[in-house]
Amino acid sequence: MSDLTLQNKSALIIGVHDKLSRIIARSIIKENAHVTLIGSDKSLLAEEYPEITEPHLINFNITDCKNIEKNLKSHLNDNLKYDGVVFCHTQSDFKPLSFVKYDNLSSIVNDNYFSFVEFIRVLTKMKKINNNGSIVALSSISSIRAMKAKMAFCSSKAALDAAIRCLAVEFANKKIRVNSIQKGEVDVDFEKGHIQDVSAIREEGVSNACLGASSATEIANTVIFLLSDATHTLTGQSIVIDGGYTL
Amino acid sequence: MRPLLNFNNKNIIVAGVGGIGQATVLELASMGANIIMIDANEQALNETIFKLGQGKHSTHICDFSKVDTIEPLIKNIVKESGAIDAFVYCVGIGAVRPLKLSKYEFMRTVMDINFFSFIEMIRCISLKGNYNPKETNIVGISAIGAFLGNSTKTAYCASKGAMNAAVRCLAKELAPKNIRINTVAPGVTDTPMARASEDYGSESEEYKSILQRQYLGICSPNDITNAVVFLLSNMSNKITGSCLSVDGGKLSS
Repeated sequence: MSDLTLQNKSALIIGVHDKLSRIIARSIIKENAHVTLIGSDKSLLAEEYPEITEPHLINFNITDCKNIEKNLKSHLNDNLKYDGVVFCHTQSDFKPLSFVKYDNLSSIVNDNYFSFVEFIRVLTKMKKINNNGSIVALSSISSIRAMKAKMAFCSSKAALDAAIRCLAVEFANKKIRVNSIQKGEVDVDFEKGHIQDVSAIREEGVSNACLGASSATEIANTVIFLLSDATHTLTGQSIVIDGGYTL
Repeated sequence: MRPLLNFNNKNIIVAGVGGIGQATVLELASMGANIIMIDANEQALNETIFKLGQGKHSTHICDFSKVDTIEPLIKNIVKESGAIDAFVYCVGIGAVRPLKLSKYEFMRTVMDINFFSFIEMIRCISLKGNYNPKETNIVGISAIGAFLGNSTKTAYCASKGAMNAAVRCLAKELAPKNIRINTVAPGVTDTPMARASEDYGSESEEYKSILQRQYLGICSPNDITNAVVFLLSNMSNKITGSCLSVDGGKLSS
């Protein structure tokens, strides 16, 4: 299918530091798209993407919602417009309800939802997204199922998924599609040592998925599918890739 | 009074006394409950309590955009009225606004009122001593917007999506405490909030287009209250973590 290529397309990828996001970014680059990457960690950016420079490699705090507009205006080259926008940033936490106070809850909702909406609001205000474009957000099956000690994370992803449905309707007149991917366990999540790495919960996630954990490339392939011309009328959807966990 | 719908002497917090909230207060009070009403609007509280007449009812003022005022409020309520048997969250801001005008502060306020305060109230109510350990029931008023896409309603729909997801998690987490929690998702309902954003004077085009999918008609606040009462009662003993749509057929059409 020649529609599946990203040749001659430009993509803006937001949140590019964790392993899955890096694999997604590299896969999009491999499909010959012109990419711009935005990450919060300057030294990690230089280390992970040595061949990419400004204005295609941008550093600012992507979760600082009050300054996203100012930062995009100062960093994005005037001539750059995008056919695709991929929001990969995600923040999670394990806490039972009694510990989930307002600051903690709002921090997770901020990173996973407010930040996404503000980026899209500013990018569309700046007319940076081309008509017939595609916006993809990385969500989670946590959006649609109860997960132990993850109420904040689940709520934030559900807010994100409700937002993409509304934005899909709001941007329909520009033929811009907005979708999300609700992933379950992904192989690369096992490797990193961050807060998500709680092995007993991980194993339960994988054992309840009849087809097992997804590979990062599967997620990347789905992102590419959604960014490509193969999905012109696919919008407002949350595509579940979970090895059958939610069945 | 049928035993399955017995709210006699139960302490029930109803947050928000707008269209749906007020109808809920009146219905539960008529079934013998002691209602603890909370709203930001003192006049609305006075109006409601005036309609109630006799009974062990009380009112409290709370600005739900200020989440940090909730913890002391709940402490106060429990001190005054004793442990809580049930809680209904009818607070919400309708928030119709296109994306380009939906700046961060606005999105944040909608989330504070519609979601963060809801969670904070549950966190406080579910602390030991504040709830009835034999049986406590919670209902949040959500919206079919949690499931459907609607232009200019991103902030509102996202807050309701968050509410539904949280309720799934809280149902599992609070089950060992004998706390059940569910949501009710109303379709278009005849309330002051709806009248402010939808024009459904009987012959308008908008009214006709609403009726195309919500083919059983516009909901009355009592339609929603009936679902709330069902979920708070023993008739729904095995229902938890779910969302009951009262939408005149809209979601299925």
